[in-house]
Amino acid sequence: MTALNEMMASEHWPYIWPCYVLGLAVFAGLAVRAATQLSHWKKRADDDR
Amino acid sequence: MTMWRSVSAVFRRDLRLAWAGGGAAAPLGFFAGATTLVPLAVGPDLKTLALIGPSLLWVTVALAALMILERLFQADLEDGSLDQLHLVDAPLEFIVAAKGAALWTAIGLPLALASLPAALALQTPPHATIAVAIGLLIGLAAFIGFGLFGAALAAGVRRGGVLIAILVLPFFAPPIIFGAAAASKAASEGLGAPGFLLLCGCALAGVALGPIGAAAALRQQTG
Amino acid sequence: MFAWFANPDRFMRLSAWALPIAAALAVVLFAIGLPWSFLFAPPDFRQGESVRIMFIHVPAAWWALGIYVFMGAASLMGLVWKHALADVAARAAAPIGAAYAALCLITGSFWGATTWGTWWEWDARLTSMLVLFLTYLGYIALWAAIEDEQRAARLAAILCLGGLLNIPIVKFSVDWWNSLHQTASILRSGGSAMDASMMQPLFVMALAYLFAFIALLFAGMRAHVYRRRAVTAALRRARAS
Repeated sequence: MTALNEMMASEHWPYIWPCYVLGLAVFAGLAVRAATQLSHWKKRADDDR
Repeated sequence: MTMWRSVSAVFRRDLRLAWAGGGAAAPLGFFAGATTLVPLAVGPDLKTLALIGPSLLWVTVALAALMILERLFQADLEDGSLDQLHLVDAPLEFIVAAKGAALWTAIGLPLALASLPAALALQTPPHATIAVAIGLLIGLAAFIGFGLFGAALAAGVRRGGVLIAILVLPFFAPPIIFGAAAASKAASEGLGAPGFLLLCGCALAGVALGPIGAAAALRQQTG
Repeated sequence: MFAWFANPDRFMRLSAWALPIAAALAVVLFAIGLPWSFLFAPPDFRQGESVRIMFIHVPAAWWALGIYVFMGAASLMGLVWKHALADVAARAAAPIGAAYAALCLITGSFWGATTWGTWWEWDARLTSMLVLFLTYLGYIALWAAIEDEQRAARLAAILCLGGLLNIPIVKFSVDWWNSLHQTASILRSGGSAMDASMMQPLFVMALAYLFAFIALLFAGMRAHVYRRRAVTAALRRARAS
């Protein structure tokens, strides 16, 4: 874990982790949005049949 | 030659409507207001004004061009004259181009003229003001060309002004880059300033492709 | 081949198993690529640790552009062959592309803050990405503003093709504009010669972004097909009663 410690000690660290957190958040958000929309309309379409 | 007769009829009708409806007054008023207020906000330092003056003129003219787009096709769509334009023997592309040319004459020319005193007040050297105004006039052809496209896409949308602004903003980027760059070098290089020819290229693209795109969009708006 | 794929029923059958596969691939690739780029890739000799932002930023830029090109192709198919599924594909791709572009812009801003010392450098690449993001917003706004779905599809497709022509012109103009206002040797992102130790995790991340896009696209398209079915069923019932 020396690599991690070195990175956290670097001056860039306060800029690096927000980017990774943001990336994860964007993909999580897109996935949740897609899943809710898909299940919502699938249910509606199945109910109407 | 009935085709050219209908195209010029559309041109004259739109020119008359633009002036009679007071449509040209609103962008001119906006232009006068903005070019007066910004120096008040920036301060009377002449060097700063000379530095930002040409860019300010370009931004103001681009926004003034945006203002007139909302009603461009909406009125025609609402009163049914758009359906009639389909029936005219000239291709819709030419009709749309005639509407754009009318707009350019009715609003572009006065704006370019108004930019002469505005440029002087913003510390452009007198010999460069003509070059700045010519650049703006050519830029307005690009803005109106691309604006026709955006206005045609949003013609069926109620209160579509904001939508049109979003749609055409990416298309305004190249002409404003080249135009403002040419204008800020107008004092030393006149019309030979870098960017001036590229601005003409943008205007050519806007004038040629804008009506084609706008006609394609308008064909979807009716029926 | 496109006509074969454009049949909605066939698409639903195909995507029913292609969606989980793409999603699983994306998860696996992220599981490899994220730790690799975050922990194991060596720091750059010039940019130091800040180069790790690149692994998030650069794939987002690549696919933000790639997705727009995909939307252009789908729009063309929708206009020429009137394939409803092509319209659905372009529509479902847009929010994903916009999200990628936004991710690219924000991480670019962070990267600029730590290497160039400013939160927004009017760098040619960032500026043209900003214009691309605006293009995405316009496309999404046009879809949202028009109620008649057929008409919205045609108009959005026309706008998309116009934007496709505009993007290279914007790229050229901001490149030109940047060379006009050349600032003294600021640290450029990327660089031509990139070490394999950086290229490999970058490609894993790029593939992860691609499969995430495919999975999200299929999910979005399936939702739109279901929505259409629900709407037509509701219309049929309204007419029957």
